[in-house]
Amino acid sequence: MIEIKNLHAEIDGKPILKGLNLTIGKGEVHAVMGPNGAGKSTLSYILAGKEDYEVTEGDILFNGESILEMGADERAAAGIFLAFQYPVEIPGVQMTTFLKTAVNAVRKGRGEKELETLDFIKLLRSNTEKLGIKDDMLKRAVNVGFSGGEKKRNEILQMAMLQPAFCALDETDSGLDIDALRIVADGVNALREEDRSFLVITHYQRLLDYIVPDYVHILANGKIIKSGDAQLAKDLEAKGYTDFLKEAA
Amino acid sequence: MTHTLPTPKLERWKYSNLPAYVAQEYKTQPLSINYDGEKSYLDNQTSVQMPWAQDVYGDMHLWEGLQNIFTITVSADNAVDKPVNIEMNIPKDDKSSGHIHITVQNGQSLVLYEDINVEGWCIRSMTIDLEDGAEMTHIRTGQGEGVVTNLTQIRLGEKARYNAYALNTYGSFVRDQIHSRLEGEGGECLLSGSKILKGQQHSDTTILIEHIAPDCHSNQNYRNLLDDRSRGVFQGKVHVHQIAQKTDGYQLCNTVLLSERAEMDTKPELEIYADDVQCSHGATTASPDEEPLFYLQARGIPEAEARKMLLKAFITESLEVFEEEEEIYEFLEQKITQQLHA
Repeated sequence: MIEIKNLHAEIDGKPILKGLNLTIGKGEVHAVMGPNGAGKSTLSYILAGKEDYEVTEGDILFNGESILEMGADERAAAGIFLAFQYPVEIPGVQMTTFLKTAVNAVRKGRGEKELETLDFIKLLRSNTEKLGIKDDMLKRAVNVGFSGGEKKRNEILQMAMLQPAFCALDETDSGLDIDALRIVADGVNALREEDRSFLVITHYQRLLDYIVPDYVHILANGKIIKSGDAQLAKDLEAKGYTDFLKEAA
Repeated sequence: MTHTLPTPKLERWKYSNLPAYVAQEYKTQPLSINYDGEKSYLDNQTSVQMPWAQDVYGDMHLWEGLQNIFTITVSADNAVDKPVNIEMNIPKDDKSSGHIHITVQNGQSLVLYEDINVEGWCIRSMTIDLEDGAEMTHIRTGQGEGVVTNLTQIRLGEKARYNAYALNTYGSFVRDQIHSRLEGEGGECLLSGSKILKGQQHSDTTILIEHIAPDCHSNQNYRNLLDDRSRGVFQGKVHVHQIAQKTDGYQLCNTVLLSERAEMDTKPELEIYADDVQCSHGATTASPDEEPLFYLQARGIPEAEARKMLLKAFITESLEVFEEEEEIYEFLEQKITQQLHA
């Protein structure tokens, strides 16, 4: 579903990704771990289409087609979703207004019929109930005054509402306590299906106890240096990065 | 009578060069005012006693000697139960001037919508006397490409409340001068507004709020959106006299510049002579924040629509004080949306 081929990318002239290769098939969950500065967030931003990053070589194919020329909104309509590590606050834009606009923009982009208010509210309610999100959060401006856990839950809510084919989760577990982590993981697991893939970027093995990956990759110095199954994450937790980095050098 | 126009040599007019905008020939006229309130509120008088209205900046001569004076008095006998509207029309070659004097007596209230259609030059002076416990909500809007020089002077008695919003999207040159005197304990003066400017529009809001009694609250909350080569000016001064202990005086002026040649001059001033006060001022001038824009786009919202959402969100935060007043909030929100999509 997603093929990242020899991806080289830089920001402000500084190279970050230096020949990254990664293929994620339909229905698969891949975890990416790695030391700080390795390029994990860069990878997720580039997948989402952030223009600050320049791709200098390589390609990203989504269902066989290159997405590099597509804008962020077109990628969202195509089915790509990024759950941000630090979701930004948007004062003055109310949650419900934002969600309805986003849902209908993506539906329109896919050639589907836009939802009328009542149908939208039904869809919204069913998702907020599952995630334990209360009505008063929906009245607030997007992410404004939200706790870390609420922000992450909001990302998962949007994922559930937009029904993407590919989801990148950028350090979804950062700043969460065990209960919030469970809720987020349950939300993600509820969306796992054979036509949907996940890229889970994380520092800590703990999240992967709840969202069990099919594959684990180590990203260091702008490339994938090792791949394995769920066991690799446990080995990494036990040994740390140093050995793996030496091995790859 | 010939008036000397204030020029940028006067500190208070430093950013606004009025003579440059009114260089042409005008026909002097009385200000044409349409008013939908009941006739009994409205009186044409030849003079109004305003001992408390002061020439604080040395530019009062711009608004003096006006022959045309309308008064509106809200008393127990002439109580108002719905909003009233004033509409002023100034055709292209006219220099129209007039004075409106409003009195809201003890415990009475008034909601006034003031709208202006200006193609010429409008010189509008207004004095507002809010007696003890009186409340006034004042919403100002307009259209046209003319010049406007407004002076609004408000006196607040004990526990009086003045809540005003100025939506400035009109005019080639607007000078909106507001002078408010909190003379009674517990008074509240709230001045909010927004400028949404493009082309070469010039809009100057100059405010002086004087706290002359203890325990009063004032707040200035302006949000501006400037595009093309437009120019905005905000001079907000709070003067807390020695007697005015327990003053709360807040001020915020936030501006987003949408083009490289747009310019905003923001000058907050606090002159404080009492020692038990809470005052603050804040000003930001910036280009639009790209992070929220990317977030919206990453959720499928196309760039143009996302930008409009964010600009509207930015401006409507100036409507904060009207959150509980649905009719006024929606009226202003609709006008703002119209202007953003124009």
